[in-house]
Amino acid sequence: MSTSGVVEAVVTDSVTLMVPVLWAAAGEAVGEEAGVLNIGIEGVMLLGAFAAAAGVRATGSLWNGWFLSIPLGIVAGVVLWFLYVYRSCNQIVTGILFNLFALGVTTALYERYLTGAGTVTTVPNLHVPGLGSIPGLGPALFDQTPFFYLAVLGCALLYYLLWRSWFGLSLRATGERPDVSAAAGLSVLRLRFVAVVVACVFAALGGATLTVISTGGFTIDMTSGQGFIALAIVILGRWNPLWIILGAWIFGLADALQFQLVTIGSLASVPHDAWLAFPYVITILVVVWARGARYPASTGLPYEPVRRRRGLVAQLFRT
Amino acid sequence: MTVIGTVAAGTDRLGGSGLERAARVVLPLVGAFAVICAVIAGLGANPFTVLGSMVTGSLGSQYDLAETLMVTMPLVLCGLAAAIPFSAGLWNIGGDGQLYVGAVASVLVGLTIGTRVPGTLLSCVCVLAGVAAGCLWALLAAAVKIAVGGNEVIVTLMLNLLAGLAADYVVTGPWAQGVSPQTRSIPSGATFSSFWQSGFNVGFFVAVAVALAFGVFMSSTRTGFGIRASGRNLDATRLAGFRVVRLWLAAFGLGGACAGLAGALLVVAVHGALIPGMGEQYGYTGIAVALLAGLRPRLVIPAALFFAIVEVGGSSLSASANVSTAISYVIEGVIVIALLAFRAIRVRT
Repeated sequence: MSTSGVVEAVVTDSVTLMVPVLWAAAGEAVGEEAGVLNIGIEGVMLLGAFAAAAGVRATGSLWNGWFLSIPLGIVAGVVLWFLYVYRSCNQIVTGILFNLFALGVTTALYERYLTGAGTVTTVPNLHVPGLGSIPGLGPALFDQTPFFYLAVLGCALLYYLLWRSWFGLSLRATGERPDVSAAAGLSVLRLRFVAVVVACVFAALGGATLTVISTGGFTIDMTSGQGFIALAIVILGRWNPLWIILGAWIFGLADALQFQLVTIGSLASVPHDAWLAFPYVITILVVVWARGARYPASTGLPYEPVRRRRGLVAQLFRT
Repeated sequence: MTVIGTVAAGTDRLGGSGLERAARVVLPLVGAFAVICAVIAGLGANPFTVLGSMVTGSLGSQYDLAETLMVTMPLVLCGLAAAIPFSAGLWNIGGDGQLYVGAVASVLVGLTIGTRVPGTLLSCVCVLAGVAAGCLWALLAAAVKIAVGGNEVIVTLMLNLLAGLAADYVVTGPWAQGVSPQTRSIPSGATFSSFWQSGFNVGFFVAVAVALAFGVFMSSTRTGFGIRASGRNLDATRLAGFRVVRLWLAAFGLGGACAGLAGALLVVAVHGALIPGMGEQYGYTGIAVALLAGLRPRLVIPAALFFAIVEVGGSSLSASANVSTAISYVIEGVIVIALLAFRAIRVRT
């Protein structure tokens, strides 16, 4: 393949491969701005990927599978909101344990119900007339799977919601100073409920996208750290869903390079695992490089409103 | 019951009446039991049969018991790898990666100098190499945390994935055995010899001794006190004359050393070689172990034993009940999350 051919293939692949982390990172930005650091994002992505694969197996349609991950994302969001916010559990350890749980559930269900070859299907690319024929960037940006366009639309929506609406202002206030927001009359529990559910639905859609761009199949632990990479992308994009598109693209590029660079003769001797390490190394570099980035002040901290002492039952069920 | 005893002992000054305290432990266990049963039923199996065969599969015979104790070994060490940094308020999620680099270092040393060094000395060198590798891998994350204030959770998670890739490379690279995907075995003189059923050997006692030693370290030494203090109040610790940077390096380094020891012992005491997937998520299960033990090093031992029963019971299932071994991750996750949600376990933020 000629050099320009490789470059074009890398760029096109990078845009396709960035879509799963883009969904996850855009949702995570909303959660973090409201003060919830969802380490369980990896598990939610895995559940979404599994739901999509199960939906594809049951109905034969990639679109049905993809949409099936939305209700699952809502359920995961409600459970995680209950733990992170309502019960004010430590978000880091709860998230990690949720990931362990999600790995167990998806693996067990997969081995029981989804092994064996399923039908391989793909969704045709959406070719934007005119723009898609521009040489160079045209095919990369305007001849993509529909999930790419949906993800960009989703990011634009979240950008408006988070940074340009009154609702977003309230949401961000609870992420900075929940006590002050509560004193100003905002319901921290409700705002964080919306934020966590949105974050989880987007993460589940990201996982589902991973399934549909790999022809509808599921493999054990198929997210392989993509949820954690999304956490770094959020820092890179400074909690702005539009910048997150660019951040996700860098990781799409790292992913795409490993597929294309191995085809170049002089690089064939580099071990395959070294290419796979690319995105993970970049993630660490992002964390090191983004030393100036500041998380919203209350991200990761449980919010415990001052309450009167209640009876036994109320004590147990309400913190 | 071991579980409730462990939990009750590990709880952090729950407050409230005795009834309330008991309810805080019993209610989540009942809830967790219901969720676990629902998941097993969802897999098309009878929950009671499955849970029953998990108990017999892990404790039913001397052979099974010996295997359970050998699984307790890495879980104790990975529990310490989480518990010590957690006490300092540092979230070392990197037990998995530290275990793998420990195993990689131990195997590489064993294969490189194996022919020139006598057996007992070689096993000591292999173990030390693993400990050093795990320690350094953890210090990498500590360095990022201290130098630029980076989020140690993301860094340790990435280091886990990188260590997994390194192990993959070693398994398929020049050290590959050739037939099955694993490295060549280290000289048999270097592996611990079994003196009971199912390969049970001195490795188990090493892990228990390390946990007891860390119990003394955390409760009765200056550094141990400093580590615990820095998890509660950083400013007060600093004012008391501790150098927080050193405490953080100590907490991360000691935690990583424990996980590296787990990896080295998996090589020297269990497999004799590096096998892909031999970490079995021990690093993440170790976090559950540490939480169940209330971050107390001595209580890590019973907590690890409990999860070893779950793990070995789970791995005995696939043959008998057609339920995936992954069910043990579900059980571990659900029990500890439920205890967290009802505040039977508290983790300071």
